[in-house]
Amino acid sequence: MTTRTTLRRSFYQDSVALMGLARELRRGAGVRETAALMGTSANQALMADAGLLTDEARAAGPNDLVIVVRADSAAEAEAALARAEFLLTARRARGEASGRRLPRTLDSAVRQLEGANLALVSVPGAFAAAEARKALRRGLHVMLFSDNVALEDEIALKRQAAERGLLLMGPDCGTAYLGGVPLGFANAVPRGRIGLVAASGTGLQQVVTLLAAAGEGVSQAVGVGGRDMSEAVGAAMTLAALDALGADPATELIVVVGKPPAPAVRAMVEARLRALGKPAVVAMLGRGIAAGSSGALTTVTTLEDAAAAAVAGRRGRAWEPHVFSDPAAARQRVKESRGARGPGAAAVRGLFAGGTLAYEALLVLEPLLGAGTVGGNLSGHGGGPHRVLDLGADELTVGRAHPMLDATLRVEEIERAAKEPDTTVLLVDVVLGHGAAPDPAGDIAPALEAARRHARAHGRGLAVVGSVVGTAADPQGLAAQTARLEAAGVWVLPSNAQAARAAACIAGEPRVAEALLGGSA
Amino acid sequence: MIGTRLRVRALGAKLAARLETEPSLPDRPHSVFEHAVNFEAADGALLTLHGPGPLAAPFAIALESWNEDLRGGPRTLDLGGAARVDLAIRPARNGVTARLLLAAGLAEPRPEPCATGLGTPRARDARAALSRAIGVRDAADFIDAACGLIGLGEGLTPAGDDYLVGTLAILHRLAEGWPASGAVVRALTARAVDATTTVGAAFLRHAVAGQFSEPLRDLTMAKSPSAARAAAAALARMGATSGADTLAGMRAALAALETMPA
Amino acid sequence: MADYRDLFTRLGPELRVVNVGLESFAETLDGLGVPVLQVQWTPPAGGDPERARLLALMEED
Repeated sequence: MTTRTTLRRSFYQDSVALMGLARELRRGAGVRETAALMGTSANQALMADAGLLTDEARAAGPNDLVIVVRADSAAEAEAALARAEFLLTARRARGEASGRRLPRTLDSAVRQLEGANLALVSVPGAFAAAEARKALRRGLHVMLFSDNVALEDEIALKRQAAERGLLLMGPDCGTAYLGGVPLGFANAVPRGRIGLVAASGTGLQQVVTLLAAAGEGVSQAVGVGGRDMSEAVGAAMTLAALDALGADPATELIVVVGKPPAPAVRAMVEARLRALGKPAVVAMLGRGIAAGSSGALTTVTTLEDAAAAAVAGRRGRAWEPHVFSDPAAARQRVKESRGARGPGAAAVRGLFAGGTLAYEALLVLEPLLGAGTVGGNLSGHGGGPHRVLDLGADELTVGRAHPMLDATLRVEEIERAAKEPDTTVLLVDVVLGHGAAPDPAGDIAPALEAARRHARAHGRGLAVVGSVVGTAADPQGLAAQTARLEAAGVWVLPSNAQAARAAACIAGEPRVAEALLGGSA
Repeated sequence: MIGTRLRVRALGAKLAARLETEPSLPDRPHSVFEHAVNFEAADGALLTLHGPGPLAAPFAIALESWNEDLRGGPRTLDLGGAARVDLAIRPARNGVTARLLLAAGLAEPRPEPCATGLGTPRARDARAALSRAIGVRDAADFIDAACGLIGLGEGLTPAGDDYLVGTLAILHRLAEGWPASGAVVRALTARAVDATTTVGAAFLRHAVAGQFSEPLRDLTMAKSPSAARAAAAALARMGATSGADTLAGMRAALAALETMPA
Repeated sequence: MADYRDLFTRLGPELRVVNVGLESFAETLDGLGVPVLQVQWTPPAGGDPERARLLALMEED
């Protein structure tokens, strides 16, 4: 039995909402006892009677809303609270700032907002398809951020969208740019001439931030969701987006970001790209993909290469993937870190907030460290001793905030990894932009410093390597976040792929560093 | 500075008198709901603005139209065409008739379910103690029991507060002078300020002074059985369980008053 | 199937968004000056996804 509490100070919400909340709480799996009451002393007595008066509840005042859940397990209690939090957030809405009567349904919202042309849907997956369907019926394009939407629903929605020439971006679409407007978790990037179609949100973020760093900009970026290029969905939205970008006068070069689809689907996508007659770059993150160029179509295997090839394409230059942006500095740092390695097995521990970044790291590390030596929780992972974890994976985020927003889980994992004597390198990603945490670097920097100190105290060096996905214009500021990490002793590289390579150079056999950096390490 | 003028359709007579001299609203709302917005004046008094319809609180103001953006900005109330509604519950001239009318209005084959908080052992004890205190007209016991109900139960205005407001409505109508002595008023008001939400406290302070919402006032002062039944139905629809909790308090008080003091 | 080639022309010069779900998305858009309206969404059909599914199907013509 575990009891968990949520407190909302000075929280005003009408009884109808609170009743709905109480109902929702009681329905949770494994939930035994709940209370959703204002924190008056009389109610605290009620909670005490029910064994629900936790310390947090005791600290509440009469105008604070207290929610307490007792459930069979911690995960179930936290899941119930997370659902309650979601309900409270979704309802509280911007009415508190606007004082205007707010719509309770999508239909009434569309009636109220003249000229509404996009619905951004992020309600729980079980209900998201219905909302998306309503929006499409009303002639709105849809960005479907929600995941856990059934495949049949995705297929039906994309069919419905196709009938009217509407976008159905997703499911599980975290990032998009339409008409220069960043949608979902997105970085501040300039408007420009490069159009993108992406099956992954953080993948898109890595590419556009690198484009921005090189002075390029985004015309439009359409998210299609992780399953669009599967055989079942047949790249429906990808092909639609390509048609649109092909005809868009503001788009001069097209980038597609995804995982290798079924061969038939891949052939369709490449054929469509060729037919459009614009230079194109295709980033396929997966095993067994051969990079190369054929006509106006360039295939690459990392997100960084996608950006580099696109920039070169815009400037009419041939393009070579680079291994490290600053090989001399890399050589120096690798030498230092290898020299400080302890006697253990020398393992890489990747702790990632972005799933695609984790996957890219795995793909970079495997050929360098040895097939089957990189374990973790990604599909197709190997055994060990190295490990790459996607901390935003479903099984790790039940009842908890996603690591892009809340660093608690990552900090725990950093501490755990630091205690393992084999850990030689920590590999991390820090993602900035609208919607992300206000100070992601600051959230993990103390734990990283502590990890290095712990290792030193036990006679071994611990290197921390990472990258920051962001731009100078992002709310968190790329320079400030980078500086924060560097002050904590982190070697910050310009891209996720380079950071993974750096980790391999430090932890791998000497031949890895020799191959990538030349000379002896 | 004039600012936007909000046209008022109706408000309580006492509130109107106060606002005549100071008709401007604070810049920022205290809390915002789908159908109402609360403002807290400098002296801590709560004002609720809502659309046309019965005044949902003794401190409520019904506007002519409910599409105003009530974001910050100077705003004054235009009381020009407003109806001034008497929200006071006064002692009945004929107690017997009044009691019969209330019994007719409050009689329901299936009483509406009230908040589950009112069913807890703690609440049941307080309700029983309250009824006992009313039955024997013991002011001290009444204060004790009432204090046990203030802040108790679900809702932004806790169920216990709604229950007590219903009780006070009946007492003002049928138990002239009791318990509305200075001591009781002071005790309940002091308790309300500390022990319950801002909105709950506002309802209780007004109730102790004999001022109530329009549906509750209409029910308590009804002149005919059908008017009483209609008013009870309107009251039952208020809030999620607020109306039902208020009616529960009224029924209990009515029943308790049947007991003659020893 | 409709033609997607004029998609960005049809989208027009201004994005006007209805946000159903995480409020932070609406806050970001509002901060950028994009017209956005937040829906005060609650799970339909008492929060039961299966009933909601059926309800939604019934609501369609």
